[in-house]
Amino acid sequence: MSSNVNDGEKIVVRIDDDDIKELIPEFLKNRQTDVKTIIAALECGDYETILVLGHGMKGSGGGYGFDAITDIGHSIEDAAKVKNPEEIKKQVDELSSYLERVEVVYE
Amino acid sequence: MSDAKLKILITDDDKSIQALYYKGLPEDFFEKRIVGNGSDAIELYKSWKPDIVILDIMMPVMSGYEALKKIREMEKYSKDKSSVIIMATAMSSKNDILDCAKLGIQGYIIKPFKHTEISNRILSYYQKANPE
Repeated sequence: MSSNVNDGEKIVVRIDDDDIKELIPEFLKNRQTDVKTIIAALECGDYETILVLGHGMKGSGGGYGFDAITDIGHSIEDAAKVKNPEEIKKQVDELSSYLERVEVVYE
Repeated sequence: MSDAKLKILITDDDKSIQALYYKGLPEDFFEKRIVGNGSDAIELYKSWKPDIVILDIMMPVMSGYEALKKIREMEKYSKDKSSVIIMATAMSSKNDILDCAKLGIQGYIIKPFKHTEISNRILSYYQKANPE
């Protein structure tokens, strides 16, 4: 499964739900923490931690309006299940890039 | 349905998901408790006797499946009304729901979900299990 992010372009996500608005900054901040945690886990071969984080992103991303995070999480989870470090690195790079380029517009 | 709030025990280890449940279940209808693993869910189930239990399948310490087994086992020896149990899982794990169905569940939630949709879905499962 691949995410639909385009290299180099700003990614606009529109949020029009007042209930969710206040949760978004922390959600994205936690995903940035996940990037660091996954990189560290990959260095010591801790695929269980990576699987759990990928699974969590898969289950939560779309609920906050970030379908790409669900997709990337799914890919990370699948890669962790088969202990594929190259794919995990690729997906975590994609996540990192997404988080840098995503711009949330509150409507 | 009576005017009394429904007691709902939500079990999910992911804080982002916990926040969605909290936002999506209005205070007018639900008295909410949220825990992060199946073992804590069992302890709270015993002391609080919720009307509804939401169990995420994949959790640390004790999975939702194991918690479901224990709750249904406890209910065999209890005179209290059985709780409505709803399993939650990510979209690629639907087969897990089938395993849980064998133990008796009243519904399921596929993640990711929108918090605006969760309340009606849960109430629908509850009302189906408790027709007036």
